[in-house]
Amino acid sequence: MKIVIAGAGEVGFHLIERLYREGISLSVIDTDKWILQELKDKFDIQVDQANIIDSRFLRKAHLKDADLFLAITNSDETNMIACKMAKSAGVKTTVCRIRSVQLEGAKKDASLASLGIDHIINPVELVADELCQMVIAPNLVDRHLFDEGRLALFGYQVQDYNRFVGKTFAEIQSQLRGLSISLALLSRQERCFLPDPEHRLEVSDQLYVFCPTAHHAQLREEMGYTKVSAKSKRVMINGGGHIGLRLASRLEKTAHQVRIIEPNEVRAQRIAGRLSKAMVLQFDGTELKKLEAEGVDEQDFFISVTSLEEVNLTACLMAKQHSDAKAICLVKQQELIAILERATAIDRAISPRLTTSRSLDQFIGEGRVKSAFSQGSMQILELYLQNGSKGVGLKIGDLELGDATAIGMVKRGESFVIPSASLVLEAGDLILLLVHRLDKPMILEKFGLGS
Amino acid sequence: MQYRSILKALGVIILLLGGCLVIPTTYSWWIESPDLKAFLFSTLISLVTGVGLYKLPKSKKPFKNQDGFALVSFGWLAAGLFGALPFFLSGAVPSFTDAYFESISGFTTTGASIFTVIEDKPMPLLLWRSMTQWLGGMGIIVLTIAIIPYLDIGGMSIFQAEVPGPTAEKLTPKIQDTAKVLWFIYFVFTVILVALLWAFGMNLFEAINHGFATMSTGGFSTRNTSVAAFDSPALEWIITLFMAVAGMNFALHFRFLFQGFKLQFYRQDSELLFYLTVILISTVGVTSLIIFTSGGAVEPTLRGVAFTVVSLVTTTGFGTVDYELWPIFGQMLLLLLMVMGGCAGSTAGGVKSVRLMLVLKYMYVELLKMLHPHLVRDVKMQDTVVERSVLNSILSFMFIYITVMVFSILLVSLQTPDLVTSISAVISCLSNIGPGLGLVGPTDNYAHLADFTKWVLSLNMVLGRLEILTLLVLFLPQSWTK
Repeated sequence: MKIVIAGAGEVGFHLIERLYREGISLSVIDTDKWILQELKDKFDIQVDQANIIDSRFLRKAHLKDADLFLAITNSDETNMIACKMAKSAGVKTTVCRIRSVQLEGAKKDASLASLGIDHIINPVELVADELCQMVIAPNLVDRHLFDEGRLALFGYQVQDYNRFVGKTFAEIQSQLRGLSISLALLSRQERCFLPDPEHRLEVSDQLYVFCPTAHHAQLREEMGYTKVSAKSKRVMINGGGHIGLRLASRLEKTAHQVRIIEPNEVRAQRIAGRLSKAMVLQFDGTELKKLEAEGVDEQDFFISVTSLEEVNLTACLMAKQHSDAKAICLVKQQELIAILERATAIDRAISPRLTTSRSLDQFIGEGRVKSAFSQGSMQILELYLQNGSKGVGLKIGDLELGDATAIGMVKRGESFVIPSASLVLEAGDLILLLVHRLDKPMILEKFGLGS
Repeated sequence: MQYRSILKALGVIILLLGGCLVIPTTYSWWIESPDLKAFLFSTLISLVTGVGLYKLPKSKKPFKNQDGFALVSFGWLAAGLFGALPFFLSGAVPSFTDAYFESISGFTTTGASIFTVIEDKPMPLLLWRSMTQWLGGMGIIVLTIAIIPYLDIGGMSIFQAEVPGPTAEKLTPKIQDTAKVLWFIYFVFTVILVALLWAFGMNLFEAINHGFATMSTGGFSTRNTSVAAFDSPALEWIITLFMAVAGMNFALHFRFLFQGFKLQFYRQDSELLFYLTVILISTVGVTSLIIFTSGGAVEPTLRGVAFTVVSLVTTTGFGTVDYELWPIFGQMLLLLLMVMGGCAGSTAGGVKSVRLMLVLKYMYVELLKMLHPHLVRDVKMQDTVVERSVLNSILSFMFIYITVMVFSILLVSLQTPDLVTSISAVISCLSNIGPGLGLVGPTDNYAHLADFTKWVLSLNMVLGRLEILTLLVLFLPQSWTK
């Protein structure tokens, strides 16, 4: 697989690092000589210093045989034009990072097609979405989409009011079978493994399940979370930037009460114009007196999403000190996430870079295999079975996948099938494999995909 | 002030009125009415004056804002003057004050009448009386802009000065096309209404007169007892519906008729929602009040209340019931509705629903800011921010409206014996309604008032029709400096 990346900015750098480690052939284009030099010193990749919207460059870069073109510069317009040009130069798939250009509504697909864009990634949207999930479904700690959003892997933090607590996994699985929901992974005390049917679910486990997106509500109902989350919560957002605004406008459409703090007067005016129900408050989110006056002690959530890490950190710690609110902090460096969550009172941390580069995973994969998710030493592979693939026509039980590997879900036609040992794999199936990192080459070999 | 340009443009307006006078004159000749001579004279005077003014040499100096305001104001005052000629010359109204009052009441779509008996008046005169309302409803300046292709005067500013509402909406890129399309819609609705009225039992003459008076939200009837004379529930419901339609923003009718018959244009308009909600709540409230206090069948009471509420909120002023027999609460509510009026961009008067709605929203935001001193919030309408400058002008408009009202009440009370009459007569004329309470109630008329009071009320009508500021700005000395 060959990937061309335009724009080695924040997201780009992080992504390049990840992709390089997976051994993908990369070509990076940027106008900044120094960043490129740094990249060149660090990784063995091809770099081009060029303006990506210069038509002369189109011939020069190896776009013709590229599988994927990622336009992730900081400028929406540049990305859009770059995608259009790359598409005409023969790239198979283009992905465009779009932050502020509004592309929604009925004509969305048509306008994207006319721009030569196959997929959009919007970091602001992704982060706001994740934050929104944290508020709406606080027990949902992880969410991955497969098959263009029709199937999801949900990771739930198990609370004591979860109705599955104390049941064995076999019981839980049989209860969910009718909804095409399948248990995938269990993460307990920093270890991630396939759940043993005989074992019981415990409080503070993290349970990962495959669930068709359409059945999410039923899943929540089964777990007894519906009642808890229907309650209107008070959310205070510090920082009225792109993310803050997007988050507030999403949350105000639900029953939750939103307050958003923005110190800049002009910006505050602007977001006040864009929001209808949410309260826009103009003051510095690290001023304790004003935070208290606006009722920080009554909040259920305090989310700090300014562009400055240290401000977010301070504000969250202050809020935590003076309220029982769940504090969520936006950080730049993904390494900080684990540190903050473990070492401070802050409940959750989120990094836009990590979110963005993780969302790019769905476009990256060797031919028919996509590596979609990894937690601890477990990985999830998305595998498309073609006519003549190894494994087609065999029963799952006969594949001899071993103890640490399982097939989590099979998509056949339009329906999702929970695999059993007697299920025969057919051509056209999309299967989701749960594998241990070390077993990956061996398992891929069984499907004729060994390198 | 560009006197020559203003006079020249005034000439065009008077010429246009003269042209309109041809219609009742022809009708008068057709039915061989004795007042043919009066009409011929009126037409002739108007045409000659109009042509004379129009022939004035062209001024090379540019037309300024104050010239626009002066033109619109004098245009309306002149319309009152020339419109009064048939009343005066025919001898039907011996006093000139009364003739002017009747004529300006027509043009401003007020519908306040000095006729104690209407039925004995010559038919061409009644037709002209309804026509003045119809012409004034959509606006004589707008009509002039629509008909005269190139009137060398600042288009948008005089359009804005006449069209009611905080901001006049340009529906088409060219102002002349907007004026044309507004008149076209107005015309079509009137034709539909006349046909319906004719079909449901009025004779053609009455259908035309009531059609004119309904669509313009004027309220002149050809009968002494107004619409009640026909004693027909169907006619009352039809007129209720069309009064309500005339009280809506014509920009909405334009979008509905010209941009694909989508009901969402109406559904998404928050002013319309406010206006209809007010009508609904008032109707239901007053109906149940009447039924609980004095009993009575539901349908006739509801019909009467709905008709009256719509008639007064749209500032039409037709009557089917004597609302002075209602509980005092109902009468007070009507008085408030009279101040509110219809929607911006309609033919109705009053301060307009949108202004009231925005002031209420502004009050809410201000109260909220007391709780949260750091709150940043703007007043919004249909998800868009209403600019501070617009809000300020609305607030000052409301204040000026009240000020003008209070001073007029003061002047009127000089020669009026009772309080309710003074107050309601001013509100009724300033909001272009017609009937008020007390001695000018739905069963009475304005004939008995003193001459001075009639002039004050006439001025109030023009102030109300031009939304005060256009006329009031002429009282600034700066408007008159060269």
